[in-house]
Amino acid sequence: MRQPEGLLRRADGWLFAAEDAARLAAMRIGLCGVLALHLAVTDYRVVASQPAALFQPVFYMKLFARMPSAGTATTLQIVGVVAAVAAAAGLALRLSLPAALVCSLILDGMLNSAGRVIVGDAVLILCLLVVAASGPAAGEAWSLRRRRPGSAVGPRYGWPVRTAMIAIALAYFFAGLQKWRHSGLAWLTSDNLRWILYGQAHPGALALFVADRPWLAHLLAGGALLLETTFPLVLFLPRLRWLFLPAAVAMQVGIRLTLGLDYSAQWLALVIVFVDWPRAATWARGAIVPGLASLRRDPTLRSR
Amino acid sequence: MAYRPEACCETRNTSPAIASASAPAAPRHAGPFVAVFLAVLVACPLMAVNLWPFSSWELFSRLRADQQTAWAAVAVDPAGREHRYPISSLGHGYRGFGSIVAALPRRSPLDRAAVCAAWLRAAPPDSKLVRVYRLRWLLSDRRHGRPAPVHRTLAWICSPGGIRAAA
Repeated sequence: MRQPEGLLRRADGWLFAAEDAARLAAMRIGLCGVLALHLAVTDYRVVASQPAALFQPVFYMKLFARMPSAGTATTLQIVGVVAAVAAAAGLALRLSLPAALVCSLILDGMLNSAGRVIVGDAVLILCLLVVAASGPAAGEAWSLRRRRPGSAVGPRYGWPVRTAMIAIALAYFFAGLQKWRHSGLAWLTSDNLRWILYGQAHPGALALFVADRPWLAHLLAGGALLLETTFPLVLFLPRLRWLFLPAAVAMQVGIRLTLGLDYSAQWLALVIVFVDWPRAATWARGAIVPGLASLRRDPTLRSR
Repeated sequence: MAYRPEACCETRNTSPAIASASAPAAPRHAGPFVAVFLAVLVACPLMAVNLWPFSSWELFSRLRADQQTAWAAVAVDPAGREHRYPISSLGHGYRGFGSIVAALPRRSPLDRAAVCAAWLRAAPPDSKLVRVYRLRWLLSDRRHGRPAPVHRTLAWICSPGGIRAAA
């Protein structure tokens, strides 16, 4: 009986460990920035005004009798971008972040109700749900509204960061697990990846380059499956992040180049959540500022 | 050795003093929120339920076969000539064409008629009817780097009078 209790206590201790307010603020700025950009550049009018008979709503879009109009989509886009920018700046966070999330849920729901559910944005929205749940804590550092003397540290800022980390790790893990569950080892030993690449309406040169070389297709399939299945290790072994984060970004950029599927929201969320930005900023200041100071002190440079 | 979460799992060095009562504590709703959030996140893939953004993460998880199947629409003018009708690439939400055709047999006659009317409305001008073909080809059968010819079978005929399955 003691072992499960001990494990739960350890998990609880990890999840609710203290964190710098700036770390959560960096997550807020990054994720809201990506959301604002995503809302601004996506063309939602491609599905707006769809005939009612073709509407295939995802569960929450059943609130709508038919696809919202182009005018509604544009209004939601404008409100969503403004709200996401305000949330990134830490302004009226209790209002701006939920407003941006609602606009995004409806707009993404529109795209997802046209016959194909787009998975790429799910991780970003999940992480933003966590930031929204953290309430005013997300706006207590690096905000235009409140400026604290120095940065606060406490469990109040730690649990959203770690919950978002778990959400991302589970997203990769379950993507791998479902491949094992539905296909098993054949997912990498068969010609599955080659058929995926050849099966596109217009496969590009890179897709054909991989598909034409069975050994390369098996290698990439094996690498992707290994990466996804073992991804939760980054939660417990932080040094693995140096390997897993670039590998995951490379995999998703590769998917974009070969299959045309845009997972940028997912890999950007991954980088934003897992990188310790306050520490990176401190390191950058330490590396750059002394360099600049020595440049100023160097008489040979000053005389030029 | 005593467990130190920051030593085990995080790179940040947090002094024990930080974990004192003066440190800003997690709000009361944090625990229940995390429990429900993670439970839904885990339950959806295990139960293969897609409650977006709580996805089932099943994309590309099923094996693809050598034989590929797709659907294509062609518009037919009054003289009986067939014209290209790239319905999936049209705006206004026609891109779910494949999934709608695949689900047609399960839809009511009234729904099918409404779908057919929508396809006819978006068809090139002067189209008398829309034919929907089922396409089949072998992905492994590539000739000089190009896919093999596609075999097509007429599946549905959509006219102003309604839609019917081809014999």
